[in-house]
Amino acid sequence: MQDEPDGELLRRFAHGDRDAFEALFRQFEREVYRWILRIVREPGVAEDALVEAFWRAYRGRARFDPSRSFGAWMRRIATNCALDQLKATQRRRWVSLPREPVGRVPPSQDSTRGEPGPAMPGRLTTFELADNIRHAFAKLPPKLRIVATLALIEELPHAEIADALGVPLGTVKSRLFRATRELRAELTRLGIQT
Amino acid sequence: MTDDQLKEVLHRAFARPEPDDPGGDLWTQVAARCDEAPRWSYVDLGLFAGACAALALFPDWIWLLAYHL
Repeated sequence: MQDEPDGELLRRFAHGDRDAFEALFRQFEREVYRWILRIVREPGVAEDALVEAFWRAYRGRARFDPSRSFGAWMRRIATNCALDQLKATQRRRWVSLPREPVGRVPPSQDSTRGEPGPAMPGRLTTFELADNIRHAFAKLPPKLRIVATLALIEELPHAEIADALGVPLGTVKSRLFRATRELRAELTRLGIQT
Repeated sequence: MTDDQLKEVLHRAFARPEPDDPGGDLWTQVAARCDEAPRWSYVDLGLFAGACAALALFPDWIWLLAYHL
């Protein structure tokens, strides 16, 4: 987490000072971008969400308490923007055709791109396997997906995820449980051993 | 597949995205967005239309609306 800006800068921001806002943007831009990118995993989408996040912060500046952490406040806004981007991406995917399970290929045709995973039967190529997993992951509801991304891929502590999402720790755990269950079910449907 | 194996499979499928920094200076976009006039969403318009319709049908509800505002 970045060093917290001084209180005077935060007070000026809360009162609508554009220069103060730009100074905060310059200080936190990279950190917020990296956080969003960890969730949405597409640089272009992350940039859109970053602009949206700082715009929401500026719009909601009067509600910001300068005695609190700007970084934490900004991270929560950024998380919500990233979540909205995931929802928008999923809505766009509704128009695409549903994927059918990929037929397995004989082991002799298995790709040599990368080592096969320990639990994989070695019948899907590595590329197909990764593609199927990404597809299964993309089918998770956004609220579960964001938790699964941060917990399983980024391996962040549950408490940190709860703080970023603004939900209780128990909610994070239950969403992670549901996400894992749905992910396993989808991988099974796609013909991947779970 | 154990939880650890599931994590390993996910790590293989989801490489860390690059680049780590925004492609350009996004401040101009943020500043332009902040200067835009407030936009009404369909939800806002729907709520406004619903409130107007309700008040037209039940004028006494103005007190209820006033209480919530």
